[in-house]
Amino acid sequence: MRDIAIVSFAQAEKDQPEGQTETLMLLPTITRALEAVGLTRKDVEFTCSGSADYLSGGVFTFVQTLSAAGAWPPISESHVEMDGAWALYEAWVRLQHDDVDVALVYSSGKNVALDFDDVLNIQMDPYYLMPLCARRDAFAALQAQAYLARSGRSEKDLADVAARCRRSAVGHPMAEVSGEVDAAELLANEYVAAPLRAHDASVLALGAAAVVLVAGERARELCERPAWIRGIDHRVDSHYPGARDLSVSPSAQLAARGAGVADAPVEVAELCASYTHEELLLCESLGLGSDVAINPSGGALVSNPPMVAGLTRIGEAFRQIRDHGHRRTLGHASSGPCLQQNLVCVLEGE
Amino acid sequence: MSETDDGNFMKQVVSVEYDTKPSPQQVAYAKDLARHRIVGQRCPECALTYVPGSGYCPICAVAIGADGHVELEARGTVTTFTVVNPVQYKGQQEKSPYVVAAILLDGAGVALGHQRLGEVEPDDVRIGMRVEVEWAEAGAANPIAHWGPNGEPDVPADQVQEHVL
Repeated sequence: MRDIAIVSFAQAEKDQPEGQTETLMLLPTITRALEAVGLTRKDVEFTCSGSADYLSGGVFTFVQTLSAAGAWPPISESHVEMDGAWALYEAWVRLQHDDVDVALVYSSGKNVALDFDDVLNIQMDPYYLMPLCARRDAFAALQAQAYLARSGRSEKDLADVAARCRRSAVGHPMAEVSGEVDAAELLANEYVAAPLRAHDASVLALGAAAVVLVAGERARELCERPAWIRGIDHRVDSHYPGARDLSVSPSAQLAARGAGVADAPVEVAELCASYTHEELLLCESLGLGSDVAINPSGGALVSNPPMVAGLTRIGEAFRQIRDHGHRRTLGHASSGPCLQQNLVCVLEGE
Repeated sequence: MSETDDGNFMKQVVSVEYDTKPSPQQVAYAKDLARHRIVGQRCPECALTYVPGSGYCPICAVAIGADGHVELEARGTVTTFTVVNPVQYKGQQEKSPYVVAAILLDGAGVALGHQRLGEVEPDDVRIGMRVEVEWAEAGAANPIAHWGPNGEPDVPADQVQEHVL
């Protein structure tokens, strides 16, 4: 395998004007990601993006966002109708071909023009699940209930996750919600879908992010402390939640094994948990013990931009190496109902 | 769930509704147009002027800020056109053939698409024909009524062939 590192990560500003286009969210974000390591768009040899046309409500909207990457003269690029973390995976595979060294990965997502539950509903199987129009909280609650029943954990444990994430998010520029809050106080609120309360669910946001991947020695020249991708894998469980044991996440387990999570101690993990119970279930599935710092950014719980939250976790795991001197971190992305799809990326500094 | 006509089909019962807000650039363009001003955006690098602008140059991948806004004369050249023969479906407002054209405004780098021509018979429209705007009456949904011939001599068609779209 070729050594490939993340050398840069940038996010769009949290506050955007009404009606802002994804292209204009991405344009300065990509510029910042490249300029931070002294690159320009002309240095990029492969570009891969992630987004969902169902969110923007137009066909081929990702073609417009290509203008932010600079697509003239023609460039080599690809797109996944998924979270940007999967675009990063494709870019990593592309760099393994050994003929190009610099890749740009970006993703963007808007959720302001629609009811997000409507869009998530149409990813369900069209015969048995889609006609139910079940909200995402309802699916999550099924998994939360199954997880609590199996693990013996309590709703208090879930509230503790919410309180810790909000505390960690204090001062983070992207956090939609943060602050000191008492778990007992949170538990006094009504259920939105038992056993889940409002604090158990992530806060939706709009967003855009960009990552720069560089292969080999060039990464060291561009970045003082690159984060080498030591393992990356993604796995999928059955598309039908009713056919799964929701109290466990085999796909997360497999992805962790494929990425070599257990090969050495992980210091920090950024997990794409859209609900509090998902974080606990993921820690267990990925084999992360109590010595691992979970979601120091506050995680997806405090800011969940669709299609961007997973790539952001990998970006935050990179920051833990570049800015905070950690040696081995983990970024995780998820997609589909009840943690159906999981991607695990293990990063190492030197 | 809905009733089925036979065992092989079921009705789709879900939908997604969008409430899309126009972008700040679209809002600004429409406000200027309502005041009978056509404002484009000039790229600070390649100097190409986009009408309407999207806030960036897709060729140079740079943002175009307020200092790149340029007002253009409502005058230009037909770069391509089509004659629409309206089918008389229920609700159709158009009765007779009309022309929709792309117009390259003087000073613009890209043509303004989907513009209605007027004051000219469809058979008399030519690529390279010079036109200017006829503003609609106050309060109309589209401030532009149509574009009509302004009497200037045609531009040779090969001079506008790069601006068909």
